[in-house]
Amino acid sequence: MKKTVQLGFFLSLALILAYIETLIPLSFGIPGIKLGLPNLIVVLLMYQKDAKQGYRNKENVKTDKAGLNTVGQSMAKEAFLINVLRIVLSGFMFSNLYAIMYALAGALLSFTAMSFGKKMRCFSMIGVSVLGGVAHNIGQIVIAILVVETFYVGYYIPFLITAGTITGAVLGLAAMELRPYLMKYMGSEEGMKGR
Amino acid sequence: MTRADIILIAGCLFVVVFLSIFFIVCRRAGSMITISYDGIELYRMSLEELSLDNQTQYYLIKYEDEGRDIHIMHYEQYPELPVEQSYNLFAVTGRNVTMEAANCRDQICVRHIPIKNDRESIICLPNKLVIEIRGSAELSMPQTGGQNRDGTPEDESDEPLDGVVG
Repeated sequence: MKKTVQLGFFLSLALILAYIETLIPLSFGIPGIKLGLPNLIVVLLMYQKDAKQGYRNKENVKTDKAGLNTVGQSMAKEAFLINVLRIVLSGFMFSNLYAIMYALAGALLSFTAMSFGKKMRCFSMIGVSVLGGVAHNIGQIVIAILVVETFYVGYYIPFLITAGTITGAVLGLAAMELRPYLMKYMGSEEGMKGR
Repeated sequence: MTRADIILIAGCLFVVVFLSIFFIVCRRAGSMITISYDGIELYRMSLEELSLDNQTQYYLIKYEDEGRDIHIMHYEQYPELPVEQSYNLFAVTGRNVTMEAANCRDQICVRHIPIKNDRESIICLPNKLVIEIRGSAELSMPQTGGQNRDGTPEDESDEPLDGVVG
């Protein structure tokens, strides 16, 4: 039950950020460039550990220390769920079907890249977020090529990679700063132990 | 921030610089403009003919009968926009092409930077429209829509296109 509340909380946060993004009149004249604020929630959630399960299965703790990516620990699945739900809901609220298609393609690639980056374990949240931002933009350009049947939108790529790197780095930094507070209030392992 | 992060960011920026140099070196000024609907090329026109006397010329694309009937009309002044129809209004100033107005919801095409070089394009996804600049090397005629060979639209005239879709 607590998890449901948490996920609802995260989803509404992501939606609010998506709404804020539509309010910021940021335009670079290149389609596809945006801040990607909701990705902040996705990155945070990816790193968030499922406190309840970690607490219950005490026997799992040992295996956790050996390899950090034990099943039932990471909330990556939930992060993915929130991501998809957020895109569909905000798409219908603030934009249109085309935008949903684009965003889903971007999000799919971005999530794959971020999971991969996180598994590599050499990147911090900044690196993971940069990977996500760049992958998101590449996913969108691929869809653009498929939809428009023009292979020459390639000259967007430098702009999109730059934008993905910058927004990714900034969001990653923000996520890093926010994480301790989230751990404190959302019931991390430490928080659960104290009860 | 770990070392891998810095390498990743540096790598991204390196790719950007490399690609930018590549695109700048390969850049050629365009001389043709092509207009495609739903992936099918409808018009291919000379930019020089479209930009009369270096003054901004307006071209209004109207979609009728759900895109089966597409008209392009030429205006010297900013025209009155259709109220109920789908449309895209693009302008040619010298060699620069910009999208001035569109009825689409996202308005991404309208905010697009001006295009002038070979292979640059403005895409309006909701209206399935692609305006692309082509280089001087390709002066060949389009494969489709052959009736309107030198299809520079005349003032205020309708130019219905045959066999556009399906």
